[in-house]
Amino acid sequence: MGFAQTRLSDGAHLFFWPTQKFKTTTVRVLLREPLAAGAAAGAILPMVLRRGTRRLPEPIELARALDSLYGTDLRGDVIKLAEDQVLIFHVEAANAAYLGGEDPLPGAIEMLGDVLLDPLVEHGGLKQSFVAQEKENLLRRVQGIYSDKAHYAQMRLIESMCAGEDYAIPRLGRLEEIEAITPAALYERWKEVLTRAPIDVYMVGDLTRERAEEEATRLLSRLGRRAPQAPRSPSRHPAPGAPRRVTDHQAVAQGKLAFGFTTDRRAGASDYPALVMMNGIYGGFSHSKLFQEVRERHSLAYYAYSQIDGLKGLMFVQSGIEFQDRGQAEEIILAQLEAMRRGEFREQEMRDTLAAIESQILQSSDAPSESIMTDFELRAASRPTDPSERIAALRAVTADEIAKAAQGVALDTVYFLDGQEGA
Amino acid sequence: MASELVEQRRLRETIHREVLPSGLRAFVLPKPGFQTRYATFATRYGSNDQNFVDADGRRHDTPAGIAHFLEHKLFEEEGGNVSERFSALGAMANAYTNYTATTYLFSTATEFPQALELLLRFVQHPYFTPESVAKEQGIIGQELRMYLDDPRVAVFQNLMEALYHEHPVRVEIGGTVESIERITVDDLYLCHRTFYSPSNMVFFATGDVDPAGVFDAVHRLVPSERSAPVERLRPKEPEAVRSELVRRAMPVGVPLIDIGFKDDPARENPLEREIEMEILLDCLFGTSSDIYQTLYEEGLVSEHFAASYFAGDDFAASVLGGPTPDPDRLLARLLALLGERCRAGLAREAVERSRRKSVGEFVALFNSPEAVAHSFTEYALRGLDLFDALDVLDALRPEDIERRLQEHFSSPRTSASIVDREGS
Repeated sequence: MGFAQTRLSDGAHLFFWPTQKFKTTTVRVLLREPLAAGAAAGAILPMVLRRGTRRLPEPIELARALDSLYGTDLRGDVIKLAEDQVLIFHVEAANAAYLGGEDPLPGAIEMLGDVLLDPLVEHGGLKQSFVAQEKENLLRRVQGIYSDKAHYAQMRLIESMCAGEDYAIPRLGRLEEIEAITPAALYERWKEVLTRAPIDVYMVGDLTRERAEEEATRLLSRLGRRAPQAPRSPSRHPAPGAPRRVTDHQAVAQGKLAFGFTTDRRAGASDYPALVMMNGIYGGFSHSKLFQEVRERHSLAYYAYSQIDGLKGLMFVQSGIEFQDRGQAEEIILAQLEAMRRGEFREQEMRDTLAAIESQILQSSDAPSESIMTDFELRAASRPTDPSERIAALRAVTADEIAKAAQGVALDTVYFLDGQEGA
Repeated sequence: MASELVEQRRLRETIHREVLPSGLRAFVLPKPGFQTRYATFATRYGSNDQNFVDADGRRHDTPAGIAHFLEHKLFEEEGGNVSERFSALGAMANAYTNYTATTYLFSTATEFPQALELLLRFVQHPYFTPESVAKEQGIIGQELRMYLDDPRVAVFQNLMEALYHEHPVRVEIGGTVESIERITVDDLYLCHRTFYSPSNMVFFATGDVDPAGVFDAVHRLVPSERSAPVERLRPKEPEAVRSELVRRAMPVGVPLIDIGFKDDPARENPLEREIEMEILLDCLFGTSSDIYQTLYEEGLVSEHFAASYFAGDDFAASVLGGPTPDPDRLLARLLALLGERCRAGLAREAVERSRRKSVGEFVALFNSPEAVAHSFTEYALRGLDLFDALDVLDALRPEDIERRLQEHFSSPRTSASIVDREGS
């Protein structure tokens, strides 16, 4: 498997994977922007543009057209990529070979093209009622994070740890930004995005390269002049001093204990695979030290895991525990990191971790969207995209290199979501 | 005995199936080109099966949450946890329990035959000790506490308690911190003996696998004796709902609502009924419906609003809901719009659109070997065949959907469950 790259225009590329593995054809357009350019506006754009186009101005007409195209899935969303935000426009249609009816793909791509390049414009701005409704929806999505305590704890950890850095800007932006969005400013922003953002068009499905290139060219044919800007690499988080401690109180049944660490390397560096192995042995899987010690040995938690953000060079740990177990859980979690630093892990732990990561790497080609996002994120980090090359780099990592990666990890912030005081 | 081939021509998928002498039903769906090889081993035993009469005619009333507890404990073996042995093979093992079934599974891109053997063995070899049961009470206690803080779990759980008086679907799948403390080693062995007999189970494998090799392993590792059937006790459930409205406050960012329309369990053709009900719900509340678009423009629903038919052999209800700024107003508006729709009837084009959408979604399901394994297994445990779904969709008539609308929604038995924002 692999995506073949074709240049479409300035800073716009097609990444195409021809395959008969899937029964759908997926087209996904990714536009990368700095979070600092206005994350709330970035987050609301796919929501507003998806509502209606000049050709299909009524949302119900657009929804009915999609259903008639055998339930073609047209979606917009954003993800956070370190200090950037990626706007995603996605369409997926069933392959005509399995339908016994007409081919939904041309209609699906046309609709995606309309959403991107032929939006509904009135009085020099995006349609006022769509913008007003989606501001409300975005507001509720942001408020909804508070309902998901694990997600909320992670967001509060990053907010506290990286205050003042672009990295602290949440994926959907901040509440106060949403209020300020206007239809005219949003339309201006969209035109800026189309001018300056790198545009990656991904296609996965059973079509020829000629057809893929033709469809991609047609998709972007209405794109105006471009002045693409290369993405900047994220700022460095300063070296931590004494650990910062932050505690919030809520009427919850379970405490959430979250840690933020700095690491001494980033994705793309030659010693990065050692950090990936380190994270895997420490807390990436159910055979890892955190799960084994916190859950299996001490019965303190249902979940305990670690993860790394390779672009920014940070590591995070989270576990859900009883309030009164906070001290013991922290001690165990940090003691396991100490053990990693001293090289106290068995060859079996290295082998299990390697096998688990290998499986993950191979399996990422089994779903269209996952294969696209894996390729996109690897390229964003200047990492190799070829599965066997990635596996070989991990296999070459030694126990000493893993311990050294752990020695480069330093605790920065401990966040605790505690119960109500006095409750 | 050779396996039988069932072909779904339009989808170009072929399933190999076999019923073993023990009564185990085994299926293999080869998916060449996929890296993930995937197997599930499932038993028709869920949280609804708390009370039963065993093969010797003795009645047992077991603690709430025991099916889920047993699922956790089956991973324990003498001297360790079988998950570690899956990890050593590069495989990820997992399991989940719902109201009607417990499913064990693994996925791997590498050593499939070894992992398969491990799955077939560990599910049939219980090993419980008082110490390991006590340890698990701590872990599951935290799992249950995590759900207590999840408003989506709370809003659904409260709805079940409002819709049902007696039926065990009103009890939390995992039980409570208190009920799982009563679970003993003997209870676990009893439930394993009663519900994990091959005739009560379904095996499914998919991915780039060799069917002959898989069936060979199943024959070799699953015992061939047939066991006596168990009687599952179900209290009589009144037709009416228990309560029309339940609400509680939680620390949430946005309020939530779930609305349930209680239905009688299907007496015949449950697959047909469930597909027709899903089509009906899509016509009424899907993204291209008048009701959805009206409520969306009124700011009462968002794309997170969803409707689905929640059904098993002895329970059925339509459940719809999601986050909303004003649950009371959403409930009132939704019932009013639904009443209008019942009077006006469904447009034939709406049914045809939903039918096409379902066909496309059914085709897309086969992109994911895991999703197919789960759907197929869930139906197979109930004696139904997922492959029949396409025939049902082809044969669908608008008048059948209209009839379902009138039966189900013209004088509905409705409960609503609301989670309000604490302090507002």
